[in-house]
Amino acid sequence: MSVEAAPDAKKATGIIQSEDWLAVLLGGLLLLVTAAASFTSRAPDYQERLKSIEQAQQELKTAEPNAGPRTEESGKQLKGKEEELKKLSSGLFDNPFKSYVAKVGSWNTNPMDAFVVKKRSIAVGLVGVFVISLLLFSLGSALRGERIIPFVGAFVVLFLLATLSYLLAGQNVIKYYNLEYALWALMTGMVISNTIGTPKFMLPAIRTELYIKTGLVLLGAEVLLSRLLALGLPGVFVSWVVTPITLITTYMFGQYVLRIPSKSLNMVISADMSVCGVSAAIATGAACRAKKEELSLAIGISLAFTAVMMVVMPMFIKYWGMNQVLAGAWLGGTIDSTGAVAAAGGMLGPVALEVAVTIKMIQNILIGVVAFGVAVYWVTFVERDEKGPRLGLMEIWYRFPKFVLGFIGASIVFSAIHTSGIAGSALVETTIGTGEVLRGWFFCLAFVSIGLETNFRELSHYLRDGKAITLYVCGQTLNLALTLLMAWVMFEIVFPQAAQTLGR
Amino acid sequence: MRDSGIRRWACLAAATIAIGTIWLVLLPFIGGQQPVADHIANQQRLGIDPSAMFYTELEVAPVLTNHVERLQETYPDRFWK
Repeated sequence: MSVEAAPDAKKATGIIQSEDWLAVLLGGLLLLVTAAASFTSRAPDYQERLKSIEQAQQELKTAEPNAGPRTEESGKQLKGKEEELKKLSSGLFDNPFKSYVAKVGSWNTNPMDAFVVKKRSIAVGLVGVFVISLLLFSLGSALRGERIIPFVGAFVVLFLLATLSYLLAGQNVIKYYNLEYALWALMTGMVISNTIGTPKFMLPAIRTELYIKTGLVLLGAEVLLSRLLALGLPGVFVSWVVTPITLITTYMFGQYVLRIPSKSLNMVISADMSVCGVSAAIATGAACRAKKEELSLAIGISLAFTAVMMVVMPMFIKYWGMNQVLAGAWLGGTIDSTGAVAAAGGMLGPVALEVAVTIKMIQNILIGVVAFGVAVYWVTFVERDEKGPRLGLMEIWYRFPKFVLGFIGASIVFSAIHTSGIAGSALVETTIGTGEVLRGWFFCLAFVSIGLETNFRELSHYLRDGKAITLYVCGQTLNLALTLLMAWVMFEIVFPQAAQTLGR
Repeated sequence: MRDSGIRRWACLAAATIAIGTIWLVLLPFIGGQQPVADHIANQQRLGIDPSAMFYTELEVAPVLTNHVERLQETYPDRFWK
């Protein structure tokens, strides 16, 4: 993410010349087309399905007070009913693009297994992702008045490298220990750039910022604010009170105690550690215009510690004999990535798994607020000339990274649709299904691009003084302590009935 | 100049061989070890994808979070007062 300097927006010759607005346009276009296509492809038995969903929801709700203590059998039955409901909801609208987008699957000994998911070949899905991405970003190039042919040639190679990165990430050991594709995409790019050098013909497709920002606009649609209240006040306190305190304290610790020279590196590490790992690093990194090496480093540190915490924390919790609700809340509030939270919760039991994933989901939603807050703070305080006059509102607007508005806008629009009722909720779930897959590919393309622009020496420069790792370790220690304290206060002291209900 | 070019391509070949060996030999071997195999099997049984970056990527998330949300809606007093 070569975003070292604030763009001088005053020099921009048009709205499309700005990569931020272009990302908003491309991401918004994708969301709009997908939502419209899904909306017009309603199930033929739409009304009957709607009634069945209402009925199933009511049944689940009325069955709740009569449910006995949670056993493996009752857990399975509940899961079955919830899955049935999910199937009914997902059938309400048909996303016509669903069959044309796919992610690379997993494999153990034969990499070719990754191209068959749920016993079906994903060849069409991969070609579909390639065509959609190519068309979208070619349109971006055309709107900026760039030549398309060189871009197309370079994009083909870039996409192949992204596919290879997904393939490396799909190996079972890598996948089940949460070493996400971002790491391997960076590695793939860096292997090339640090051996034979990045071929010149590839340069037109290395559009890190555009891929990241378009991906972030798509991510905005997944940040559903309505899910914030899923766990009542305990959830709000564990996720939305501890997280900002940890983020701000860690950032200040980095500035005033460790004296990290780069404020953006400090911010990206603080955010990925306290909010939700790689996705938070990407969003805040783009909001504070972090250097590409800083983003790579923050992601590397986060993934390494996440893999360790995912295994060690459940062992410690079992040894300590902590109850599942408290344990789930602790895991959900501290482990960086959502998948690793689920894996760690799953090691403890169904209640811990449910609580952990719900807490993490609520924390995930914080990503929008954090990205917005960081962007405002950066343009208002960090990038301001200390000797110069106070920035006016117009100057702040000129400097503000506009893609954040697309990110927040998508979140607000999709959250509103989601809360409008059963149909709105189903429409959002159907739309973001393909958006999520494409967003993953765009981020993967971005990380390969970063790798292709990164020199090992530049990266090792950041590791030399050990401050980045010290910041992460100190911040995470604070996070572990504060989250445990808040979870204990919430579930053991203030809302013990909530813990009893969840753990029944 | 030519030597440097050959050295660069040799480096790429060496890196490719190293990656191939790790992914095709070492990782499958590690994956076959009992504790690792048990960990993977357990996650697969629960339908958990630990590589999910965001909650929307986790297939089991709606089932889990909807249940919690339903409990909270059924007993608002226990979660809000």
